Amino acid sequence: MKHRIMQPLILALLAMTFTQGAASAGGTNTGSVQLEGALGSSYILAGSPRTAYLRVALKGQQLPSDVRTPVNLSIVLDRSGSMQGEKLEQAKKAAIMAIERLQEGDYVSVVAYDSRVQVLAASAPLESAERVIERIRSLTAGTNTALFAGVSKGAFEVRKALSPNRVNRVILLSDGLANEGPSSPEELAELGQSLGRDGIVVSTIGLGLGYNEELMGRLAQASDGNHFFAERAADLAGIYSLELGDVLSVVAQDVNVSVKFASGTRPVRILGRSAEIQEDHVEATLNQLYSGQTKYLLMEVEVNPGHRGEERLMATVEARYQDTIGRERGGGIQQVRVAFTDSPQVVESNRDVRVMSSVARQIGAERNRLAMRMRDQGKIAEAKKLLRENSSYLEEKGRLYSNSYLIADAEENAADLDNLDTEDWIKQRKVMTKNQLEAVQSLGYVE
Amino acid sequence: MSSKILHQERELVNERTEALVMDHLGEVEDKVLALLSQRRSEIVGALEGLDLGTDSLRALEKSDSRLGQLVRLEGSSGDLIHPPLFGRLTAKEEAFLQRTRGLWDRSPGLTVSEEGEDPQGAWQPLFWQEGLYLVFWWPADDGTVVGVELDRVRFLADVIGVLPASDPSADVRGLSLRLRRAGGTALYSWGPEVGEGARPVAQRALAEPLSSWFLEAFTVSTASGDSLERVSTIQFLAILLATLLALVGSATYLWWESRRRLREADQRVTFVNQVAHELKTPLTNIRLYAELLADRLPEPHEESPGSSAVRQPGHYAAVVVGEAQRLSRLIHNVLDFGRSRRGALSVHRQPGHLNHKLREIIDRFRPALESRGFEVEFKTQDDELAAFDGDTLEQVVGNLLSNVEKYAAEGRFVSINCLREEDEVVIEVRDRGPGVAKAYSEKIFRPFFRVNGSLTEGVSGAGIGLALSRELARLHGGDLILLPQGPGAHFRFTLFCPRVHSGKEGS
Repeated sequence: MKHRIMQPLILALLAMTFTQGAASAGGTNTGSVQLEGALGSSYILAGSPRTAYLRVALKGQQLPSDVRTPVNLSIVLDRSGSMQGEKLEQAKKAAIMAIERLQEGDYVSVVAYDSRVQVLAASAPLESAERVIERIRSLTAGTNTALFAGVSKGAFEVRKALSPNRVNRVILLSDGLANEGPSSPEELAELGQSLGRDGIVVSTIGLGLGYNEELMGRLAQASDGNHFFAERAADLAGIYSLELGDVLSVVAQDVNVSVKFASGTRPVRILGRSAEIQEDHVEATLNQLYSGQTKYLLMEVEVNPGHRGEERLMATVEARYQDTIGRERGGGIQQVRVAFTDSPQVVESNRDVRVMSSVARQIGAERNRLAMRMRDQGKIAEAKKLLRENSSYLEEKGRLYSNSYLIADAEENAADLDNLDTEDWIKQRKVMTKNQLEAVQSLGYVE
Repeated sequence: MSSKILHQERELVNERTEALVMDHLGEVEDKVLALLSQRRSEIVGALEGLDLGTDSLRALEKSDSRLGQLVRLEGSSGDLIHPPLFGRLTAKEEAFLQRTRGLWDRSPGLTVSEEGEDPQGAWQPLFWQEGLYLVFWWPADDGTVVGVELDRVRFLADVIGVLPASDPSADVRGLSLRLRRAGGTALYSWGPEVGEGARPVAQRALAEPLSSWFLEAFTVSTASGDSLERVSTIQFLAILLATLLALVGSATYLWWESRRRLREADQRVTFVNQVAHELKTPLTNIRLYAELLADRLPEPHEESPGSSAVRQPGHYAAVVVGEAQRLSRLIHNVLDFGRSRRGALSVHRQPGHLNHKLREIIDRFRPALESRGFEVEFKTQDDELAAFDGDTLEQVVGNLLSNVEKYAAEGRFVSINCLREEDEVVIEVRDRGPGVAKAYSEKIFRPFFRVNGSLTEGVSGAGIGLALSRELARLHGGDLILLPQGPGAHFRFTLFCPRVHSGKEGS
């Protein structure tokens, strides 16, 4: 117990030491999450109204290797006709490997769907993995794709052991288009959102080039889950491994972030995730926080003019969450202050590169999404132009902030450029969708 | 096997199937309605005692993921209270107002009522674009009305959750069900795969407010998942092929066809057999105790019907015994028929006096016959101790007398004559009814055959009595034939019935 409290406290102290700037001092935290509200720069130019970037970061603490949150998982597999052969075999193998990483006390269920839905193994504590693994091995390919029903049954199974102190997750695999029951991206997104509100996260894996990435992407995004693109069946093992890695490293869930603005500051827009903007506050929910990973809420704000030397409270940032390791409700609160100066150099030198890198990443993802829509409408030349500009922008920022991830993103955008003609577009769109959603989830960048 | 009989039987089977399937659909409907009912209780529970201000309504929306939008109206005028039109509306609230505009725009006022007991609110289905939205209206104590919309997609997901899953390894044939919207789109299916364009054997709309949802049932009868209709198409092609292949081909086809139909009928006979077996045991007890009862009571007088003897307990007991024995005979008919199909009928001879047994049998039928105005004449010249199977005698003579009762009632006369010719006994049963037309004189001995016409109309019977009786007679070393002499029907039943000398047993 004492060890658990000490570790995050020490980290908090360290965080405070390393945080730049005079005013935005480090955050508070209890338990497994560290909260930090930071500005693009702790100084703003005085004299006229300015915009600034505010980032609320939540970092999951590193867990000792023997500690983790119990899991309540439903693996939903596509067994439609198109999965016949290699694809289904690889999917089965990957699912089995995932189950082998679970322990006693975890709940798991397996659902398979084609035009009908089959509950291969109903939700039960994992006494022996063998029973469940046998059922998976017996799976064969079928006919159509009742994706909505598959997810519904998976969620139904997860509900049986639903708990704020378990990681409640559905992992959906599909290689094709939903064609039985509700099949539109809107309907699946609505379902994702409804499940997300109950703390059930749906992660989606698209296999091959025949699935609808709009549908799979939006379903994951709406419930705050991960979205993966497996180009070949052999990639499935690695992807299930990544997803399980996240599932097994959850430290907090059901996270509510609230940012209350002091007078003189107003929210303009949110970058990346969706949030509710009211006149003087912003609210967002995040579903799960992983050990050692940072997720954030990033927004652009407008600040009334200040005068040199003035110091002001900008916002109060609060986070409430279910600490699944400590099995209690936790939270933190922090004030974000800003100071005014006449000197652009002072603003520069007090820049927080982490905040600014996040800004660049999210803007890059937004533009990438816009380019995708242009290409959907057939405006290939405009899409290429935007991607080229985006690539330069990301490269420039990458150098400025010494962030190699941004430079890698710049290269991705350049590669997207080359693949806008018809045959390659089908695949490229899936790659771009996956990358955009990774940006929203702030996955991949390590701070 | 006559194809007409099989067709009739198939009709009967179809009717029964449809009734059973409708029952099953009703059970499924109940599950869905139970879910809706649960939501309703939860909503009412959440609203009662809640202050109905905008903030707490928004908080309720937020906290319950199964709810869509909430709205609150002035009860008398229908004016909108929440969401507040002059405040800042979220996109969801805007969309909700748009699709429900027709409701709250209307004046005057809004009344919430529902058929049945205790209206604590009512469901209303709303149709918007392609979806069905369910709104629950709840009258608050302060004269306002709160409308709670269910999250449409979430409700469907929860319904799918409670409906059965499928099992491809087991679901190869049987019943396949589907939930669909009016207008055709399928929402969820379970059971075996159904072929394209198959028609449902039963359909059922769900009760309000879900009357735009239908449950459909399909029967899948072949391993490949084809419906019954497809089988006919295959038959037709087979015939075409056969004629092309010439006579041998079609002969082979016809033989195969009749074997298949025989197998089908056999399956039905097996089922009926099993039922008859079940009935035997309780019936044996009924007969036993009825006979014991009849023994303890005074014999009914041998008087003509209409006299007070008819109302005596002894008479009642005699009727019960007679009917129990008749029931017993019918069950034996069925069981024996089953055995005869399997070649398992047998005859067990015991030494006894045939004329005594015959008298017994006739005496059991006497009350029923006499109450219908029959004169029953029994003459016998056989007095010997002989080896015969009493059950066979009971079955055959019983069947003949039962037929007389059913078809020859207008003649009011039956005579049973028994005489011995060496090792054979001949029993002749004669009546003065309408008799049997020459054309049918052999057909009546075929199983399931019943003469069509006013005579058999309304008379129950499966048509196996005579077929079985002839078979039993032949097994007993004799025969059962219809003699051509009129008037009325004249049956001759012969049995091989060797005399038993003391010290020796008959064969």
